[in-house]
Amino acid sequence: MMSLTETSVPAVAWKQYRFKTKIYAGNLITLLAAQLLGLLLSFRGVGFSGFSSETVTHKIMYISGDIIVVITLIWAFVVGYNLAGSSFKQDFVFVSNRLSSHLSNIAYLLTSAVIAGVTASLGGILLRVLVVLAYGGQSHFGLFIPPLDLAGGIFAAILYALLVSAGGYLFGMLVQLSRAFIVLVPGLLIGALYMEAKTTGQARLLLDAVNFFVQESSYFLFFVKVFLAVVLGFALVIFFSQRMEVRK
Amino acid sequence: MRAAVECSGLTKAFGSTVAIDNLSFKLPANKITGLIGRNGAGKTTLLKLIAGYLAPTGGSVKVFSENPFNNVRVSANLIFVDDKMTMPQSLNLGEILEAVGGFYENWDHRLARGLLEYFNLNPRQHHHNLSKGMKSTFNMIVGIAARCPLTIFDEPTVGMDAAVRKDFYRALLKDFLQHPRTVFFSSHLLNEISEILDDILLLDQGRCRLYMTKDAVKEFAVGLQGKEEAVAAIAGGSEIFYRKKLGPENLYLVVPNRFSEEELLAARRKGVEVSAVPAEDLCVYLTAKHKGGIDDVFDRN
Repeated sequence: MMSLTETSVPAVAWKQYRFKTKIYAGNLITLLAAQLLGLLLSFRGVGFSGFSSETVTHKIMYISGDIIVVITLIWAFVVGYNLAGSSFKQDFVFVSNRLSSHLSNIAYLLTSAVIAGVTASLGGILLRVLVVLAYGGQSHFGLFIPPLDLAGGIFAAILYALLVSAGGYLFGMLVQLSRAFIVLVPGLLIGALYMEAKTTGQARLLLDAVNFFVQESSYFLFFVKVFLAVVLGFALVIFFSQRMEVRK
Repeated sequence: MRAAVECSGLTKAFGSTVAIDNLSFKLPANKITGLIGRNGAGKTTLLKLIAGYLAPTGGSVKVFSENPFNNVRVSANLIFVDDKMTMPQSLNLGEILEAVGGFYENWDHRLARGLLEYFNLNPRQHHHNLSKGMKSTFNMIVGIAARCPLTIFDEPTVGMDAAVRKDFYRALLKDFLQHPRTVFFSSHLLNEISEILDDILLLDQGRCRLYMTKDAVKEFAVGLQGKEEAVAAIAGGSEIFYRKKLGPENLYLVVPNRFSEEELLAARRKGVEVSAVPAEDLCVYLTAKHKGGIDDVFDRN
């Protein structure tokens, strides 16, 4: 008799995580390409203003790394969504249970968020350098960024990427549960905004939700907010997929 | 001996369709068992229940004494091979073998590479570019090299040509003899696989129609052929698995083999030919809705 292999959920999840970093390596290339695109778009500036008199022409060009961050966050959402769609089918071909599949996915999303956050922040710095080199003149901030600010920026970017990819993962898992959610989630969101706008004349729900994270000035509180939101999202996914069958 | 798989009262329904209907059986360890049945008999559903992909509607299934659904221990000791195995698109075949090997303790990488070479699969190729038969071949290689204590093949030969199928059966048998394990193998091609089988489980509309050793299946029924009255007299009131008119006077009947040597001798003396019934034919007869086969449809007019 072939002896049975003993194993545990963490051991399997670790193997799956290693497996995923290999098979989804293409995601990183997409990320770099997307960020490069963001860099090129930013380089043209996000806005102009200027005035001119008879003697002087003054032109102000607004350049910001926001596009890079936004593109990175879109990437993070897509990665989370796709992972929910493909990994379940992929995992159960080999060794897996539901929990190990989710744990390895969470670890993978965490890794992706770190890479995305770091590269997006560094992309912003690269943009500054390029702008100064290309246009000359005076950058409003100067080239120097205090290390603590840089670290804070990277930290925040990582948390944003994690939050968004977890959102994509939750949405993707809902879609796995039922295709109807593809329509239902955006429908409910827009419907709620519409109803709110109709009754109160304002649509603050979404804005408030975004501001709940965006306008947090304390890094620690921001971390706590993101952490709790992400844990809640993953807990929901793990809970409602416990009885989910594997479709092929 | 401890059973590798044990089903009791296992039921699985999809809406109002009952795919597996109150099924109970024990699959002994370290044997190759063929799962035979017609289209829609519930073979794939049964195998997916055992693999823990599906949750039973009623009853229970145990694999190595544990519930396979959402069970990482069962999953580590089981591999489910079919033509729909999702393989990572970003890796080539060689890299897939490398990556998949990490999941299985008994994985034999040399064997996997050897088989890959033998079946002319280029390790640099990608799985999604393979033909149907080559996909099946690759999946089969993964299934054999994983050396899982429970190896499930669900119609693994889809698209394979006859030569590859023959080699596959031989490879499976050779590796099985060196590393005995429990193999559950569903197929339409009983004639082809019967050589490697120990036992046969015949599934019909979600129920177990027959479960015995391959040799017992061969002895299970007997064919009687001759003049209609003579054949009918010998068959008596016994159950008839299959009936076919041969010309205006002759009749061929397949009935349970409950005759003594003397009875069979007497039958021969009356001009009734007594013949063995091939396992594949018997399985078709046992699961047919019409006792006369397709001819019934035409004879009605």
